[in-house]
Amino acid sequence: MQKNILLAGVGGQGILSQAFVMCNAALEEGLNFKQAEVHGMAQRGGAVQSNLRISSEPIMSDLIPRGTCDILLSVEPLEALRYLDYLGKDGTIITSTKPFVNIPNYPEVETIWAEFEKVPHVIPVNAEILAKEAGSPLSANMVMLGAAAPFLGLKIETLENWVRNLWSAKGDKVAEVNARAFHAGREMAEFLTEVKGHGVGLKGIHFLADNLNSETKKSRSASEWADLLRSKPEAEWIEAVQVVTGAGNPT
Amino acid sequence: MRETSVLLGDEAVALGAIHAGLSGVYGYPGTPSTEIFEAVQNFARDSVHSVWSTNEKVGYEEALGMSYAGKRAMVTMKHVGLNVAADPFMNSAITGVNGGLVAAVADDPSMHSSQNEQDSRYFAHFAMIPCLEPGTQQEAYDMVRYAFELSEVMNVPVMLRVVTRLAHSRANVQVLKEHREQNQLDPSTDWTKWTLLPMNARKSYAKLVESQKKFLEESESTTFNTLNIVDGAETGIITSGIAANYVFENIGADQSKFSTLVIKQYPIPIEKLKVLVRNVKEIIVIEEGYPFIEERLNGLLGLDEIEVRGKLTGDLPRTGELNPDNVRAALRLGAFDVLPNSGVMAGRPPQLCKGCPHADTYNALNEAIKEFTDGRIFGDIGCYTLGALPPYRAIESCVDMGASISMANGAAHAGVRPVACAIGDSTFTHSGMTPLLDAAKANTPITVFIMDNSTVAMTGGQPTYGSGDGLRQIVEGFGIPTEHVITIDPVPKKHEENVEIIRRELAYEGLSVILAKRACIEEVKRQAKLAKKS
Repeated sequence: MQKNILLAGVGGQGILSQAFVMCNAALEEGLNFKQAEVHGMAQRGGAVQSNLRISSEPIMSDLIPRGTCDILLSVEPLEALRYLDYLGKDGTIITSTKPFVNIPNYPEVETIWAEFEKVPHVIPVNAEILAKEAGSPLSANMVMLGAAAPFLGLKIETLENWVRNLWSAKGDKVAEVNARAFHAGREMAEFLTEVKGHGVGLKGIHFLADNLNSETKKSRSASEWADLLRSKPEAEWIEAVQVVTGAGNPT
Repeated sequence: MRETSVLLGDEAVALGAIHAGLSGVYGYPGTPSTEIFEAVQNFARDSVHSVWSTNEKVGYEEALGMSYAGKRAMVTMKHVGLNVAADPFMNSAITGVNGGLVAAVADDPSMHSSQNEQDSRYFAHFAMIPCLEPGTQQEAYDMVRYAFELSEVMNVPVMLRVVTRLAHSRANVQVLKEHREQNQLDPSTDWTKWTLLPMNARKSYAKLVESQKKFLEESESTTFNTLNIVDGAETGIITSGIAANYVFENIGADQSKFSTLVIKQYPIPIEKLKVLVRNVKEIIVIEEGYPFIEERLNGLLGLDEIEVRGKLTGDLPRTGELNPDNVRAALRLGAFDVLPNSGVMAGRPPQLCKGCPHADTYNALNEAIKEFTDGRIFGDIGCYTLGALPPYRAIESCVDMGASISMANGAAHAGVRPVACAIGDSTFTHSGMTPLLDAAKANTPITVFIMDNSTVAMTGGQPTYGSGDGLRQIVEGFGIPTEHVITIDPVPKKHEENVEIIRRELAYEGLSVILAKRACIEEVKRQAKLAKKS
């Protein structure tokens, strides 16, 4: 078993907490791991990343070789693009859809998503919607960890256990919120992967990620959602979703 | 008996030292070494002396004092910190030690957060002491214990050299369950050893020169240096420290084409080196940092009949850190398929936090100084260095700790007017007090801004020793007239008032010190968290 996982985000978005959970889960399952991060200058609103490697064999390099990354997990869309050249040809990008605009020249959001079209496997997740739903916007990083969970090669129970352990010092309520966030992310990623499997492209699943929440996605099965998106032009999608879910904007 | 622990490279060094009977850790914050010190504090607060020093020179000397007293001490610093500690470092090789002394130095190849990427192995070589260079977290843990033993047996300080990618990388480490006791108090009784009058120092230096043979024997026999000759392999790889990880990442699956010499203990094992050279037709040297081993191997004239490839030949990049990709290219193995870089991208450099007091100070200073035609503001090392970048573009220089005030003095002597400089409260006590004394004695016409945010912020919030009232007392103690030692409150609503004060002091043909006093907003948050806990 071997997984190369690149975590990306902006300083303060909590990628080191994601790493903590995954390292300890790997250890509990008897796997080797190495997790490299850069401290100091990166904290202040700058781009941050962490290289995480998990393997049943001894690991040599702390850094992931370019072209061998299995999972690029990002809490910010522009930051996912920053490391495209690390992604293996069968690699998957799991990214939050919410831009963090703290620089004057942040690219047009549409151009960012046009770049993602060039990558075979992309799962976008609206961490903001799901984090709020779970009970705290601060749990967005755990939403994204959950979204990556189906792809990590680690047991879901082990991961959830370490999500709880991470937050245990802050009390049961906080641990519970983050565990909920983790599962919300996981279920959404599984759902979107299924929809994708029914022939929906990135535009479609990005749309669903931004317009559904944990409850409303259950209004139809994955294949029914796929049929709906394929049968209507993009301009009519939002109305179609509102009809199906019988509600206004889920956010 | 061992148990598993999840440790950063830095934490592994700390725990290794504690388990080896450490009595005191000394140092000054500096990325990527800070976490070594903090880990000792976290793991052994009650049993190991762990109080930050004002600078690395002082820290080194304090560690030496503990060693003199018979106990094991470790001093931690980043690579440029060793420049500051160089005086006691060099002479401690001549005095020798009593309790073991380990200098844990963390280099920063690629200058992730430094002014240069100097290679500390040169300092160990210069001081003529052994150096250990772990490549993994496990080695970092195990080598520290050995370093202390080596130090006491060989009567010299021993350097342990790590780099950012090991210091800040986490892995599972097997740590010992049984720990060595600390040494008993046993102050040295040999004044000739510790008093470097020429009559003593000449003898001790001659002994150090003699000892080089023993250090080399140790390097030849140590299991940290491993030679693997593969029959028929035409290429020999010489690698060291973390670079070995990248080598084996790439050749691990098929080692039949390469003979290897892995060096993790210096001096370089010459006999092992000779064996490698005899058995191959070409050599590639893969080391993190400067081409230290490569230069030594080549000498000035190169090797006859054998090609040596490495940083000096362009096979590896001469600047910047190694990684598995550039090492793979140097080994001439095929590249992996990679996706092209995104055509859509923007840099996201670090910035001052929203609400940072430095922003307000710079805004007022910028407004005041633009009324003069050709003023300059010299900068220093800390979060406030970010004031060099847009939107502030406030400072014109940043060279080394304390240089802001000294360079301001020199520029003023040359005739630059007005001259200002910006220095943090901790940088000030580190190395700014001495040039301020120069300025005070001569009443040099500079305006010194001490950016007092009550913490050592850039490295994560360590305690500062010159802040608030204490800082004012130090500054006034230099004899600067009190009307030119002014505290300002760097907040938006005091902007006009602050501009007026700064304008006046910039025009004044004499020394002014402006204490821009407001706590770092991250420090405020940290204090609030601590208050909640208690």
